[in-house]
Amino acid sequence: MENVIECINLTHKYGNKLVYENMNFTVQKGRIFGLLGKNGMGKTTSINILMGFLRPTSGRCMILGDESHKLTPRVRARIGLLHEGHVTYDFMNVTQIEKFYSRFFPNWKKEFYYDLVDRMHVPHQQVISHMSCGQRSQVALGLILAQNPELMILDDYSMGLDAGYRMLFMDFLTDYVRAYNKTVFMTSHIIQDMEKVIDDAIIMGYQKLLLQAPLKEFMRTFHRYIFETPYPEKITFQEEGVKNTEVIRNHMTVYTFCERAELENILSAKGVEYKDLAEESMTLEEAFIGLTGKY
Amino acid sequence: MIKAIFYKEWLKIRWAFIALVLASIFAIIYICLDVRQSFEMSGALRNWLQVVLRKNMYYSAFRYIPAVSGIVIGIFQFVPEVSKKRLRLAFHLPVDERKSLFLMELVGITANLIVYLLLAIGLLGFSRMYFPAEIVNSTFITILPWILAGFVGYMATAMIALEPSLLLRIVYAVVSYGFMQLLYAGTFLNQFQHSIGKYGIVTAIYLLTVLFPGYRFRRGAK
Repeated sequence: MENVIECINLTHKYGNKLVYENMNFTVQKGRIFGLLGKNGMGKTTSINILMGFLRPTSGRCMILGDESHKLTPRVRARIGLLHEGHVTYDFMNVTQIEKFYSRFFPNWKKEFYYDLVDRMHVPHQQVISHMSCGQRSQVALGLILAQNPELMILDDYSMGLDAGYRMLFMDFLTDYVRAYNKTVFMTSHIIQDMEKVIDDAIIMGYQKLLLQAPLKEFMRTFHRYIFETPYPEKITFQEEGVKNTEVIRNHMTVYTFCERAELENILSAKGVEYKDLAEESMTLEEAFIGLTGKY
Repeated sequence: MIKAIFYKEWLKIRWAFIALVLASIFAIIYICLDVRQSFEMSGALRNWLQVVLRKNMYYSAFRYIPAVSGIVIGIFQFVPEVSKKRLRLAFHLPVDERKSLFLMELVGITANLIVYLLLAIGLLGFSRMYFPAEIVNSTFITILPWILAGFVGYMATAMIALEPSLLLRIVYAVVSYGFMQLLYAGTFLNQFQHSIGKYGIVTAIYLLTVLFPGYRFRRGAK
């Protein structure tokens, strides 16, 4: 499958402060990728590198065949960017901004823009800065859809949106992406929304990439087990597959890529007394916290 | 594409530009009325002596208008671009970044030029009605550095707005202020007669400087 984004040994530092080191990931054509990471893990840095506004300290990040910090105008025309906070030229009105952008993109689809914007019943002479955050988000999305790009990079699309606008945004986006075989790379603080739409998850941890996998595979292979044990504080895991543990009184929760039998073997080998071992299903948000930890 | 960039810049500066054009017209009317009143109150001979012998600048109200125009247009044009890092939108358009910046600058310079031409034509046209050609010529030479200061003020505003580093912003502000002070150093007529060309060349070089902070903004410098 064709790679639309390819990051190889990506390392970034701010001065002496390492953000991450030797990060590798690829984004395949026609799929929706979600970049997940807690605050301060380098999500914004990664997005800035992908958007071409930051040159990585070392390594390469290729977007549609161009290095991300040296995108040619021709490649830029194939990438739609949604900036954090749905930043647009908000001194323009609904008509003016469409007129402005339409001059730059040969495949401009005016009808995509007005189809979305007209759902808000906003007059076309309305200045964007006077709109609500939700309305501005629809204008920004409408412009990207009208641009008809091959790749869409959406930086925290859910910021400031209520549930209705988040749903409208995602419904429009997924319908469009599936219908026209587009590639999306997105971040959001609202993981439960992303769970419904993303095909692949990229999860960032402290200074490194923790995981890149199809979402279904991750949710199928990552488990949460809970069991009762008299001395949970004495149990430690060095095994590769065990990612995190939590203890509440004499109940222990283990987040792991191990299957149940494998975990039971590990516990037996350690001589751990336990009972009522059970697997609990997880949402993506719970799995994400299970993998990265609460703190 | 070029028309679209001009369109965006016009939308940003149009009200400021219209206000500056009106202010310029009022300034010229004020200078006219002031000179006419002086002629009527003090007589032509006294006024003549004031201008010819005492080198009185009857158009001193003109002095800071170009700089104010440059700074105001610079603010209206570039502050919206840097607030919320909106310049990233321009840098993602399928246009060469340098070309984008120069086109933006071209709109600002043209708007300022229109204001300055209006002021200069108004002032020199009015001066011709009251004063001989020598005085009109010296008036032209005297206002030229003020006009150059207007362009410097515009570029300085653009550079300070675009520059991500506070330290470099201060450097640009200090250097630009120093250069503008030189252009305002004239205290009598024709003082810049032999040096205005050199100042003009330095100002023209100044017009290229916007690329540097623009490039740094593009690369995510801090």
